[in-house]
Amino acid sequence: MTKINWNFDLLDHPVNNWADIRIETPSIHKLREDIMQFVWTYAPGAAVVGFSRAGKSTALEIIGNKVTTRKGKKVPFVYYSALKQDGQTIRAMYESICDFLFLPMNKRPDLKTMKKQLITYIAEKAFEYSTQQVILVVDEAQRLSIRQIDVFSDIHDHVKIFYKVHPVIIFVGNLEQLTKLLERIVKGENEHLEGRFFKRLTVFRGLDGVADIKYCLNHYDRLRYPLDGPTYTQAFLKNEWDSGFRYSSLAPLIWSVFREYQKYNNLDSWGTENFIGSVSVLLSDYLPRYGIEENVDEMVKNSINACRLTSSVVNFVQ
Amino acid sequence: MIMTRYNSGQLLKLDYESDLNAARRFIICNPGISRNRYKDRRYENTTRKQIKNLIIKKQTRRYWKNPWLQQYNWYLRYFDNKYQKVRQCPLCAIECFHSHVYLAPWFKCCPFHEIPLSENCPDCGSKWPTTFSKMSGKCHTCGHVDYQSLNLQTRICISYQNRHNYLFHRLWLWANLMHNMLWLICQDRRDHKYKLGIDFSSLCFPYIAEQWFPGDLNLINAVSDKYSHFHSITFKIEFNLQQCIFYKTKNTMEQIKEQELRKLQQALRNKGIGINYDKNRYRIIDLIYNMTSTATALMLSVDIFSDVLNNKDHTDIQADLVFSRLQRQTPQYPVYPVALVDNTDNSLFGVPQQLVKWYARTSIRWLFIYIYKCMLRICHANRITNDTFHKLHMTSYEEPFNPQYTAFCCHYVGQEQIQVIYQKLPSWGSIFDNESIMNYCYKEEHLPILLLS
Repeated sequence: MTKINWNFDLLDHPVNNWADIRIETPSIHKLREDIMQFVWTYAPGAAVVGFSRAGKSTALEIIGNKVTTRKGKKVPFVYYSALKQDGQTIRAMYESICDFLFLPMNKRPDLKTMKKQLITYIAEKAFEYSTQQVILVVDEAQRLSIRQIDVFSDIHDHVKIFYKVHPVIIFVGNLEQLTKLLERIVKGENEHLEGRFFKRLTVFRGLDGVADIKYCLNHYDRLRYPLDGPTYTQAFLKNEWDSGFRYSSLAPLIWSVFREYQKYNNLDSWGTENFIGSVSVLLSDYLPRYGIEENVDEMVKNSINACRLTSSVVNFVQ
Repeated sequence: MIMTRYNSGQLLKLDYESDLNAARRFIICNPGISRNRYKDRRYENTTRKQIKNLIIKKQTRRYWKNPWLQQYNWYLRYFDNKYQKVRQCPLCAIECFHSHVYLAPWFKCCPFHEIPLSENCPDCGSKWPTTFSKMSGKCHTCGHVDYQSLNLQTRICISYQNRHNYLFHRLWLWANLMHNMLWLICQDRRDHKYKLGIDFSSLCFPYIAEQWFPGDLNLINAVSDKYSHFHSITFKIEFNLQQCIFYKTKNTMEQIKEQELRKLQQALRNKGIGINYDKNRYRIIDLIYNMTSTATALMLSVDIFSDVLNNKDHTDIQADLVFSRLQRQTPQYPVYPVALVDNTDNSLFGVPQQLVKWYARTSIRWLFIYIYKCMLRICHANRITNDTFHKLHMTSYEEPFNPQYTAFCCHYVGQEQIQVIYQKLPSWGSIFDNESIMNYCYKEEHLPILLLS
């Protein structure tokens, strides 16, 4: 048995800096498979919706370059996060994309030039990975107007015609706002957009069920910091770990506590960010101090409250 | 600091393209950069190192894995050489393609479009651009082409179907191999047909120059090694004529001999060989041999230069005389395993491997000497314009070294250099036109190229 390296500062531990923890949850896994399906079926576009702080952007970051073609080649991932602009013109849209992707521009760039630069960039990305497909992710799509979404259909056409590259444009947005936009698209005279991008829709959900939570907590029992050091649970609960305790065994209890919140606040699912925060706080602060034998449900409640699962503003306003 | 993401232009890349084209690709694929920035002083008045660094910064790492671009010559040739004339096919320019092979003078037509190559752009009339600022001009043929007008799918340059393209492929490979040292020159004054020849820079084989011509004499500017491609061989020596004249007037042959002997004595003293003669016998013999060979080479060169420079009439030195000076037997011409190309009907073609070995191992020196002789012959041949002379001359005189050669030419470059080109027949034009050879090329996988390693 190899010797465990205990020479590290607990304050540098990932559990204490949980914002950087990346766990591929079952919902992320599902999203990845969905995107794979879009790529394999040469879908021109799709929409991914989810409630706020569900972890959509992080999920896409994790999925990143893991999407492959049928041949097993990686598909390049071009990420763009939409910004709220003064004018919702097409030119402003192109300027925003070029600016976000750090593409070279003149002082007064005209629409044509920006378009060429952007299209060449997308096509070159595909060429670099020696594929004929590119995934273009448009995050925060609820900020866009219908006119601006039309820009992406333009990009899609040009890349396809001139470079024979099939881009899959994925619009990611907030459930409430994007659905409103989608309603307008469907009801209005925007069939070209609907048919192109919004035929396929995936709902991204957070953690939903004991199994999901157990799956995530298993990572805490398995991941090590440093690489030859103890596991995340072992680092904070050394004696308990030695006596056979595993963090994943708390999954039913944690889920039951969350269910109370869920029923009271009418929540859809547990947001990934909040879950990882609560669980990390529980592991780093409460369990080492008060032990694992008594009042664990209280500790879970407190850690969930610490990460503000429910909005305190709503109660204040009411 | 976040770097701006420039497009590398990989999409427009084609095989066999030149570095000039690579620079143009970069400009076409980055329309977001204003032309004013290209016109900036940074681009025009920089040294080649700065330009290289500038371009390296603007490319992705993947782009620079291309070994062809990593070679330093590409920017040297196009960004530092003001006198370089670029030849280009106008239709290839519209399709954004250019190759180094177009620079070969014998390449009169574009292999893809089969139209004559030109030195000027037919649209704007100016020379083909070699700098960033000119490449980003408004001319649609030589300048900033719109990627939409390129018709990427219908670029004719992509297809390699006819035989010219096949040969182009072969030649490009060969040119790529020797890119560092080659410069294509081809001119045959006898029949005014363009042929392939090569000359080299002195950087390639400096040791030959050192061995034959001591550096302090400054007789030679550049020495070339031999190179064989298909069946043609070309050599180049650049002599410092002014120094030769100066040397001839100043020093007599005896003085040169004395100088060399002194050097030999000094070398013996320095190495301490003189003390134990028996032990270091062979070393001494080697040293003496080297020194005498340099001395005799000098004698020969001065003899020949005096003939070349002073005698306006017919001058010729017998091969036997040359080799007797060197106290060597006249070498025999090697036996071919396969006839290269028959002069009469160009029916046969093959790779003479034995010849390659023979040349490589034994005859570098002798060939080098032979060039002197060739040079004299060239001078003579150039003076006489009558074609019948060549025929009579070649049939009556059997060459010990190369019985197949029929044509030479001599170029006077500037006032200080002489370029010597020696070439065999048949001409390249006849190879292009001969179907049997082309069929051979199609069938055989290996390159019909002779490389002397």
